[in-house]
Amino acid sequence: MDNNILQQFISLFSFTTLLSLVMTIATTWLLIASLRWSLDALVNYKPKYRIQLSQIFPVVRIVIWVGSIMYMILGIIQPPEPMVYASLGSLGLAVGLASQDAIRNLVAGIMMAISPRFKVGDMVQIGEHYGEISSLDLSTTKLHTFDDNLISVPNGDILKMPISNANCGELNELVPIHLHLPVSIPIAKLKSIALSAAKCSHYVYLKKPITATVFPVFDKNFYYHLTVKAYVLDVRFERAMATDISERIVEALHDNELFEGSLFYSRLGPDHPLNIEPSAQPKPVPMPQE
Amino acid sequence: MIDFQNSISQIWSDLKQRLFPSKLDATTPLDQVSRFYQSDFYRSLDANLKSTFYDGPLGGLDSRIHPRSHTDFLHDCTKLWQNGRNVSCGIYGEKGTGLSTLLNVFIEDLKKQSLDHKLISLSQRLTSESDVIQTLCRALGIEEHDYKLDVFIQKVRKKEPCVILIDNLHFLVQRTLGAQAVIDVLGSIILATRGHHLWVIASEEQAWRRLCYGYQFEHLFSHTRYIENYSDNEIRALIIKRFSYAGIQSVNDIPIEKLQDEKSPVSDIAKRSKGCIELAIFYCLNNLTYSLTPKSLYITSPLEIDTTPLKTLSQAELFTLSEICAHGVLSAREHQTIFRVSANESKMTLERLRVLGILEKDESANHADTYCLKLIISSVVIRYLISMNYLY
Repeated sequence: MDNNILQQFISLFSFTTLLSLVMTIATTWLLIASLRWSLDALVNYKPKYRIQLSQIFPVVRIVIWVGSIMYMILGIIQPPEPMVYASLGSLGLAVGLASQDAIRNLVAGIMMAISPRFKVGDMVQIGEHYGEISSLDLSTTKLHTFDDNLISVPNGDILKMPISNANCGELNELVPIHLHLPVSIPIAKLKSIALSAAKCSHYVYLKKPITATVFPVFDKNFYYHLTVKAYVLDVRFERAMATDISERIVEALHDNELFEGSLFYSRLGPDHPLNIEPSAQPKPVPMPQE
Repeated sequence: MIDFQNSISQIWSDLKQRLFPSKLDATTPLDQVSRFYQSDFYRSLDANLKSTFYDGPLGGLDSRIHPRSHTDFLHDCTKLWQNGRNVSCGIYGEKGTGLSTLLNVFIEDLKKQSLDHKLISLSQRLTSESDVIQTLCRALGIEEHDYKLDVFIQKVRKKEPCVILIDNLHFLVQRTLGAQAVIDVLGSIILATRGHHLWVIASEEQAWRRLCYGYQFEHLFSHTRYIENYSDNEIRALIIKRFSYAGIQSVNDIPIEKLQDEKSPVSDIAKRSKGCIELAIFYCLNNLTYSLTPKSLYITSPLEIDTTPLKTLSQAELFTLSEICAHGVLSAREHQTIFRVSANESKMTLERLRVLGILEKDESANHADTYCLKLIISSVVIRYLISMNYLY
């Protein structure tokens, strides 16, 4: 019985069938490569629609491969029905046992293509890694960090993890900038300078609101925790914008002679070895005695 | 025996020429655009024809090219103001749309109605509160003094009601820490005196957008209107009007009366200029291949301007261009402040853009090293920056 099935199976693969299969695979590969090339060209031509265009590819690639495989099985090989079921059962069992993780990642990849949690071009935090999604493959997701590292995360793991997505398919993204400053600076003046400095940065997307909040914080000493929230023009300028705004605020405070300290009064506290202590540190405010 | 190698290379080179025609032959290099006006050919033209190709508005000749709806909009606002409504209006449009011309037409109409008006054409950046007050003092005929804002507002309110027109509002845009204060001062004056005076403000589109996004500038106005670029028909009408003014009777042997037809060379030029009059005039001038016979012109099909240098620009240069689009003009000093770079770096960036033919020095500016976008290609540059996500 088993020999019969095997003989039938081998008889399905004539030279013409094999040639057709190779040609179909080559055509599919060429089609996908040319689609990738066209989309890349289109992205270079219209960078503004980079994210929308990039998200098309992963879905289309899966559709093309699934279509191509279906055509190869049903159109070229044309196996009898019992053989299909028998082969699928044995193949599924064998492959499933041999490559549990790979299959898990593949299934996760298909699920992510159907119901995406992020798109190519999004800025996401996956575990301890933060960066731009550079590609969504069937089994792995590649993340381009600001340190120019390419992190590959298995899709199976992504489904289990909480994901923080900063821009959700848009080019602009909210960037919070945190600064720790001496309490000697008047709050109203500080907020005004922070907002103006943010508007001065050419990386800022002015169409969306800019906010500045100040909270007094105590960590061995009192200091102000200033948070400026502004949208960056393009996610790729996120760090450049944060640096630019921070520098502008510090420069403006110096120019207005509001900043007597040499540098930020770090959150790490005055005793921390990495802290650069201000030359004229604000006087510690005495805590109420219990 | 057939030389296969030569035949194939011949076929390949023919095919290549068809698929990718050489840009050098088919286009006008960007850096050659301005030089045309200094060419011997242009100098040899007679005065009438030369003025036909003048790349600015020709006073009364071009003045009525705007659609009637734009002037009607301003007149409607005036009527509302005369009826006691708190009206102020802002008009904005692409660089070269003829906003100044529109204001001049409106002023002519105001004169006919014997309505008092004051035109403030800004020519330098307003950098402080006193700058704004002094500029308005000069324009409104108020004695110049270091007024407090409240006192100045009272002075403006005491003046006889009039229409106050401010042109070149891009001089209000600046990416410096004091920008908010300057805009707040002008905004306070406009809001406090709205209704008593009619404020009409004209701004380039990118400057207007910057002011609205950053400072909610549109809230100062009860009525705003976007002035569209000229249509093909309007540009064609203007060119024909200019040719008639120069006494030309035919173009490419087509009588001037029939130039309105879709297939005339002027129509082709109007279509390619995409609403930019300066570009249309440049196309006309750049494609006069035959010498002028009495009262006849010969124009060949226009050569496109080669804008490929835009694609070679670095990130810093693209940001520089986007700031110039919003600021209208930018001096090397301003560039240095905005981008926080050294003086030499600023100079080099701006000069490279000038050498490429994208920028030109602003001759009317107070500072020698002030640059602005070349008008002929400004709309192309703006479209490119928007597609690259440097402008929005």
